[in-house]
Formats: sequence, C-alpha cells, structure tokens
Amino acid sequence: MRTRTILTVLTSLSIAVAGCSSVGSGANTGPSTDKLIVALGAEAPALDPHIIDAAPLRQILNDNVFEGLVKWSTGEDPELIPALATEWTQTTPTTWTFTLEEGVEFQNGEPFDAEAAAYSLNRVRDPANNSQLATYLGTVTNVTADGEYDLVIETDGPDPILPRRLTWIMMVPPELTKTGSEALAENPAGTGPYQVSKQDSVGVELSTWPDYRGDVPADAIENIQFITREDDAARTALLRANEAHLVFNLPLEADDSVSEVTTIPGLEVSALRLNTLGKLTQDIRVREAIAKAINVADLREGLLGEFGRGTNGQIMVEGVDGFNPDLEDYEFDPEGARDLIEQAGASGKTIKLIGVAGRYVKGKEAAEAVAGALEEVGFTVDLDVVDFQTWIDIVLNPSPDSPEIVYAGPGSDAYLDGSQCFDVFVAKEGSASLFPGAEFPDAQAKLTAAAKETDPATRTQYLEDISEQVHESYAMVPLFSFDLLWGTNGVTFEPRRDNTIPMLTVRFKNG
Amino acid sequence: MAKYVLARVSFFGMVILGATFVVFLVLHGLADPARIALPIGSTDEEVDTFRDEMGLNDPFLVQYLRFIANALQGDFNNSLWLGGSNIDIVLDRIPVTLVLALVAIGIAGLVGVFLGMLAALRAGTWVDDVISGIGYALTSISDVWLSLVLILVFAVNLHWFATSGFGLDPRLVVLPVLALALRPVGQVTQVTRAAMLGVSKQEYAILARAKGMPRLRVAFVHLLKNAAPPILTFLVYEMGRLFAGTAVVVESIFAWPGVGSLAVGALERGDIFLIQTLVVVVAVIVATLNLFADVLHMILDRRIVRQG
Repeated sequence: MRTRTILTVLTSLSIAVAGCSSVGSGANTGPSTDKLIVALGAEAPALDPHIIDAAPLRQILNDNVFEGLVKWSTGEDPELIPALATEWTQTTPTTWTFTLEEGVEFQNGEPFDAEAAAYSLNRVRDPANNSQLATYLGTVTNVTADGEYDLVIETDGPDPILPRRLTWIMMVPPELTKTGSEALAENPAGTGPYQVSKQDSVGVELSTWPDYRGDVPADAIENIQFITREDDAARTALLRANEAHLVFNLPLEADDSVSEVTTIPGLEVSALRLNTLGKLTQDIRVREAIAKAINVADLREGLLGEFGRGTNGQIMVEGVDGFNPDLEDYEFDPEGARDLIEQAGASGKTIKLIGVAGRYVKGKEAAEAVAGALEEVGFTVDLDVVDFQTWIDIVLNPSPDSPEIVYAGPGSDAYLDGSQCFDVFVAKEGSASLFPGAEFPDAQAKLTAAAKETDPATRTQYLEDISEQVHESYAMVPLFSFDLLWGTNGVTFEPRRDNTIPMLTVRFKNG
Repeated sequence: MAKYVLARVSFFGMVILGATFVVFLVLHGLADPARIALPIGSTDEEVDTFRDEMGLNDPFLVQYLRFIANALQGDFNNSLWLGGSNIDIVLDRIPVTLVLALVAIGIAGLVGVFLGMLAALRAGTWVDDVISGIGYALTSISDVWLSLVLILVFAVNLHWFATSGFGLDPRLVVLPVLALALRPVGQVTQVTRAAMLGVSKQEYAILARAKGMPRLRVAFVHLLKNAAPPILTFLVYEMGRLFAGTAVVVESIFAWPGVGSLAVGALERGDIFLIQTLVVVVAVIVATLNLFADVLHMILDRRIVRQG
C-alpha cells in the first residue's frame, strides 16, 4: 500500500512537472495565410441576424455578410457613417427619412430598395418573430417605403438618436426571408462584401463576394473561418500554437503569454448600484461613505493593469454622448468615510453586496475587493457572488427591499449614447433603476427632455447634466472601465468599440 | 428475462417523465428566461410581449402539459440562444458525443482490462503495485486540469496535436479522447483486477491450474470470461456517465460541439427550452444504456451459470 501511495504521488507529480515545463517548441511554421482563422468566445446562433441578439452573430455577420442602413466607423472616436443609406434627416419631429443607395442587390439576386428596408425593420418589430432586437426599435411606430429609394420611419415621439438605434439592424432579402428564418439562416444573403461559403459544426466560413458593389482592396483577405472556443485557456492556446490569426475576447491574464495584442477602449463601466430607496443606503451619507471607501485607482491598477481605464466618476465612458468631462472620480478618503458612517449611525451595521460570476471582466474579484474596502471603514459586509441568472433576477427587480449594493455593468455599446444606461439605471421606469428621483427631479425632467431634443448640443448638455446629478446622488459608484482585447498572430485590423471588426480591414502582415 | 425487460421498458417512460418534471420545476423557479434573452434595457412591456409569444405567462402546469404534448409530436420549441429547432440542435450534437464516448470507452476497455489482468496475475508484486498506483492516480485526476495539461504539453509546446477543435483527423481526436479515457482506464483497471482476483479463488480456476493448464490460458479462458460481466456492465454504465456528465468538461475545453458543451451553454444562458430538450434526450440515452447493461449482465451471468 505504501508503494502504491508513493507511485500515485510520483505519477501525479511527473504529470504536473510536464505540464509546467516550457519545452522548446516542435515544428512552428506559423498559421497559413490561405485562410484567416478567427476564434470567437461564444458559439454563434443560427445565421439569421434578426432573431437572436448575440455578440458572436454580430462579429460574423454585421457589415461583413449583411449591412444596415448606417454603421459606426472604426477607431476610438467612432462616427455614424452611411452604409446602405446615403443620407438621413429628421423631416418632422417624429419622422426620419432615409435615402437609400441605388442599384444594390442582395447576394441571392433580390434587389435592395425601400420595400426591402421596410420589410427588414418591420420583421424585427413584429412580435410574432420574437426578435430579441425589437427593443432597439422600441420608439418606432411605422416604417414605410416612399418611392423606390426613400424609407420613412415614424416614431411615437421625437427620437433624436433613431439612426444610432439602427446600427445593429441588418437588411435581409424579403423573398428568401418570407420562406422562414431557417431558409435565411441556411443561406444568409446580405449585401456585404463577404458571403457565407460554409457553415457546419466546426464553424462558419466566409469568402469575398465577387459582385460586391464597393471597393475590395487587392490585399483584403479572401477566405475567413470563424471558430468557437468558449474556454479562455483554449482560445489563448490557439495563438500560442499558431492555430489562429485573431482571437476575440482575449482574457487579461493571457496578455503575457501572447506576443501581439490589439486593444480599443470598451464601452462598459463596472459599477455598484446602491439602493437609494430603502435599507441603510437610502441615507446619502452612507452612499457617500461607500464611494469614499474605495480606492478606484488602485483597484483598477491591481485588477486590470494597463488595460484598465478610469471613469471620471460616471457610468459611461469618454466618447459616449453624455460623458461629462468636468467630473472626476470620487475622492478616496477612508477617514471621511468613517466619519460619515458614524454620523449616519451605520457603524458595524451589515450591508449586503451582490456580485456576479462570469458576467463582467474581473467582476468577482472586484466585488471581493470592494467588500474588503468597506469592512476597513467600519461596515460589516455580507458578500454573495451569484450566478448570472440569479443576478439578472435581482438587478432587474429593483425595489426598496433590494440589496444595498449590487454589482452592475452599465454599457453604451448599442447606441454610444448615455441614454442607453440612463434609461436602465436612472429613469423612473428604468428596468434596474433605484435612482432617487424624488431628491433629484431635475434629472428625470432632463432625461425626458433629452429623449425628444433634436438640437444635438442641447441634448448633449442635458445628458451631461444628468451625469452630474447621478454623480452627486452617489446612486451609482463607478469602479472602472476596460479595454477590449484581441490577440493576433501576423495580422492587423481596425476594430470598433462595439467589439466587432469589419473583415475588409484585416490584413496579413506578411501577405 | 422477457418479463424483466418489459418491466424495465415500462419503467422507462416513468423515468423520462419524472426527470422532465423535476427539471421543469427547477428551471421555472429560476430567473425569467425572457429577461436573460432580451437586452437589459428592454422595457417591461417588451419583456411581457416576448413572454406571451413564448407561452411563458401561462400557469406552470399548463406549460408542462403543453411541453409533454408537443414533445410527443416531436416539437420541442426553438432555442432562445441559438435559434432553430431544439430537437434538431440536440440530435445534431449526439453523434459528436457518441464518437468521443465510444472511442474513450473502447480505449478504457482495452487498456484497463489489460492492465487489470496484468495486476491480478502479478498480484502482490511490484508490477501490481505500479499498475494499481497508476490506476489510483488516474481516477483522482481532474478532467479540467488534465485537459489543459495535455493541451499545454502536446499541442502548445510539442505541436504534436491541435490545441482544440472538432474533426476526425487524429490531430484533433487524440487529446480529447485521452482526456476522456484516462480516468475510466484507471477505474476499469481496478474493476478488472478486483474481478479477476475474485474469480481466481473459484474452484474451477484452482482446478484448471492444478491440471497444469498454462497460466495465460487459465487467465483468458477461465478467469477473464468469468470476470467479464462486471467489467462489461461497468463499461456500459460508464458510457452513460460520460454521455451525461464527464464529456461536458472535455467538450467545452476542446470545443467539440457535442451534447455536453451544448448543455453548458444552455444553462449559462438560461435557455429553458433547450435544457428541457437535452434532459429528455439524454435521459432516454442513459436509460437505454442502463437497460442494455442490465440485460447484458443477465445474459452473461446466465451463460456462465449454465456452463459452470
């Protein structure tokens, strides 16, 4: 028996040593340039761009196979630029008119015109289709073709950011799509520069569409294969083993082991939502104490290193309409925090902190660090890190009985507009809102006004004022935002801040 | 035996119903699948409309009975995560898990039986100690850790195999099969060794050796044949376990699009329709395998009893 024990230990140790070894590599020829291999972090649903709202689907299809009316430009300061619409104007407070590009065809030969565009938008809006993208067209009441190339979209009130809401809505060929979602998914026919050449359990392959109306640079990559690796380590290993050229959602920990990393500032902020309507945190002194107890700079540096970014004390990032450049992070002042806690009579009292696992970058670690910081200043913290489904249930059922602190991730990736997170976390009817509207009536009034304001400068001022009031209320305590990371192996490309890449911008370095 | 099989088959249906009811109950106690599927900024009205269209606002029992009625007609609804018919998605994935599990069980059977026999024939010697030690080590290893170590050593460092990916190319098959097979190898080694030692004490075995029969012939003709029932039934049960559980980790890490990785994705995304479909299909498969194992055991035992 003793011999067996020794042998067991030795066997395990030898496997462990082999695993930790950095034996020199065998044949390392690098990935072939016959085909671009792209690894996604999650499996893509069926290739119908209208039904499921999923990042992998956007990463494969949007502006590659399918196109929308408008799109975001690449780079850190994105602008809304034409795609299938050449221009657009708000012809009345509740009407937008889009002029469409003429002479465009879908890859299956159907013509793209105003009727096709109206069909596409109405398909998403139709409740019978159960589209998960319908919410992006929530303000739209009617979509009609006015002539062959003019599309008219009516809204239920002035909607100054309607064009932004359309960036994720792709145009689909009506006749093919009317035969069913499966027909479209099996033969996705957009207007984009790439067509789907193969889809199976291994992944999705694209090849350039020879009849694309636009310019396809001579050095653009002709063949692309998207594969899925949900496991972070497996996805990173693809780069190290030269089995992929480009990897989405590179985990932060992989940075040191991967030679080429491309980043762009993300659009999500990790923050704490405080219960302003009930429990201990309804006292603004307690909320201010929580804000002052956390050293967000150290937290950001410790968890994210060079890929962390500050938030200037706001729930949206620079570049998003509504980001107020005059605001700064809350001051780290633990002594001040202790005084406030004493004044509020909250010393030693227990507060509940809900974290969520596997949803936000470093979310679990950040929640644990916050719990530690709050205990340092005199709170007793009951930390509960829950799964995503439980977290959704908690965060989207806000009430005076909600936990004092819930970890959240306000994002602006759909519209690059502050209203995306204000509508959720600040509006009176917001799905996750516990904003103290009664104490800050001006914020709600400005949110209502911004929704209808057609003058861009005035609207921006409204949103920045709301940011300031959210800041003063301590209803949300922003912690950090972070860069999006891609691992690369011999390619360059131009990313977008919504975590997509127009594949026409990708180039082999040695191609 | 016919009566026994008939009774087990009728029990089949109860097992499936029981499993689906429990899972249905649990899933509907979890968070709202509509909230998980829709963007966080969706209004209450939009969520409610979505729930209405999906039938999620109906009472629990109505939803369950509708699920059973539809399932009997082959309609398992569409996936909230992947789109498309749930039953088609699941059936597409079964062959992948089947290939992985069959090859892994095959290796486990061949290697495990060989090592177990060797250990039994050399019981008490250093050979037995080494083999048993390896067997214990293999049964203790974590699937996750083993998978990642295999990738690191043989794919990243040595470039002998691919890091991950699905296909019937040996570069893609060897590592996931090894990761799945090594623990059953350890278990089969132990089962075989114990079974062989057990039958080696039987009178017929002692008599055969006393008659001067060569040792290997005794081992194969008498010992292994009589030790076969527990080994074979263990292999079939293990096949069911691989299908319903162990394959999950390996499929996820090596990106094999089987039922295991599908289950992980469906659970993470709260796709209750897909989860329900998976439960039905996997329950049918596992119950079938268990039934097969029981019948196999009965057949083998009867033959041996008659010949004994």
